[in-house]
Amino acid sequence: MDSQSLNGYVLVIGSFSMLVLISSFIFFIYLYQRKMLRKKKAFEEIEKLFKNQELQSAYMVIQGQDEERRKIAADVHDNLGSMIATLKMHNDNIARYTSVDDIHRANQLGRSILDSLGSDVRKIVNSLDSSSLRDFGLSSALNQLCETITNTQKVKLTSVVDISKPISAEDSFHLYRITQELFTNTLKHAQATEVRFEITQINNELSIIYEDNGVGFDPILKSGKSMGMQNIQSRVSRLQGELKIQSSSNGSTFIIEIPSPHGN
Amino acid sequence: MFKIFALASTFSIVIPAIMLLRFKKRFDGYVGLCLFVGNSVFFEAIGLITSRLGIHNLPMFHAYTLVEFCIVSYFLFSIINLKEEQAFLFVSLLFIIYLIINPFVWEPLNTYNSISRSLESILLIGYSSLYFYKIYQEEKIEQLEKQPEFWCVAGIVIYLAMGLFTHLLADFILNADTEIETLMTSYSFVHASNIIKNLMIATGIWIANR
Repeated sequence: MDSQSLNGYVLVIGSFSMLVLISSFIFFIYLYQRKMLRKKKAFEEIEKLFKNQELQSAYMVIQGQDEERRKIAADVHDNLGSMIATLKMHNDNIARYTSVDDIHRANQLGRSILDSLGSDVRKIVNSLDSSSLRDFGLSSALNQLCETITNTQKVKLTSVVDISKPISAEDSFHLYRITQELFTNTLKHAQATEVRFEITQINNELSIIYEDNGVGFDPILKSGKSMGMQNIQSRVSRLQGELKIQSSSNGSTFIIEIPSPHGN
Repeated sequence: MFKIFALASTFSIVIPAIMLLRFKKRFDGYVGLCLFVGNSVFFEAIGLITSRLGIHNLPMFHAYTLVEFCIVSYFLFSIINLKEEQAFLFVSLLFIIYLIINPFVWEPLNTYNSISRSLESILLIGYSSLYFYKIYQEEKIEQLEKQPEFWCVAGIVIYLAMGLFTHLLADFILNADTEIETLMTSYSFVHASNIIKNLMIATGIWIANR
């Protein structure tokens, strides 16, 4: 090979290599930014879904409250209203009685009407106290959440919700938020295709087993930095439960055990 | 023209060096980068002085390869959170041992160490690729162009890759009965990549300092 053609080859190969290198970097930046944009869009979609789900739950609660109000109004009208009217009539009659025996009988009748009135008031108060969360409680909310996750078509979800005993509104709220946070983590970060969620209550002990087949994370690093993980941990400790995390590049498993959640 | 290009390449290291001196904020690979720029300034100065005085400076490349490998590896390890750090440290240690015994066994001090330079470039490009792979997988950086480490590693990779191209050709060019023009052409790519590297590092420092 003569010197001139060698020089030409060096020039062409060198220039081409440089062009390829610089193009590779520009292409890398493009690929990365595109990936981040997709991730951002996916986040927005998930947020929107959760918002819709929350709105739906809120709507159901409002519907329940309206139904409860109608029931209470009917109870007040049918029972209390008629009893108060009877009591008023009875009170008007007392003024006409002249004998002590009649007054004594009327007084006893008045007392029995007042007792019934007190008993009905107690019934209505009890019904008011146990309205929304027991009617639209944890099981229903969790099933609805699972349905929302399935509808995203981002993961294949297998769920078991088996809560046999009533759980207080506050504990239910914490358990619901923990579950929601676990799903959020999977959808946002894990790149998982399959999720298994089980919440079961045996005797009084409640346990949650949550597994995904995502990329995993470092539990020690994440528990210090991630708001979501801190949120889960703080709720579990508030429920006086125990949280165990196992994570590898093949997926993550969360086991939450609550020895004795508060009942209603 | 080639001389001006070569001088521009030599003095381009002054830009990131001055920026580092005026630097106020620190980032992950700050110490490694300072060592890298300091090392470049030192060896560019030695190279310039020895070539002006007509002193044979090929032995300097052996020392330069060793120091550069240690510093760039340190810089890259300090910005990549490696889980398998010990394996990489072991590979680096083996290569350092090779670089130390190389002048006495394979490439004598008075020859151009094209093999060790090529191997050094391949290893460091591999480490850098790991950095790019990590940031692509972790997705922690929202805007890549605002990440100082990214600019510095990108500059170093361009410099190493073009250096690798020249080192691989070096034996062939030096052994063939070529004219000085061919040699200059191949080295002009090293100079160009060196200027690009220094400008990219300077950009990284500027971004970190904003």
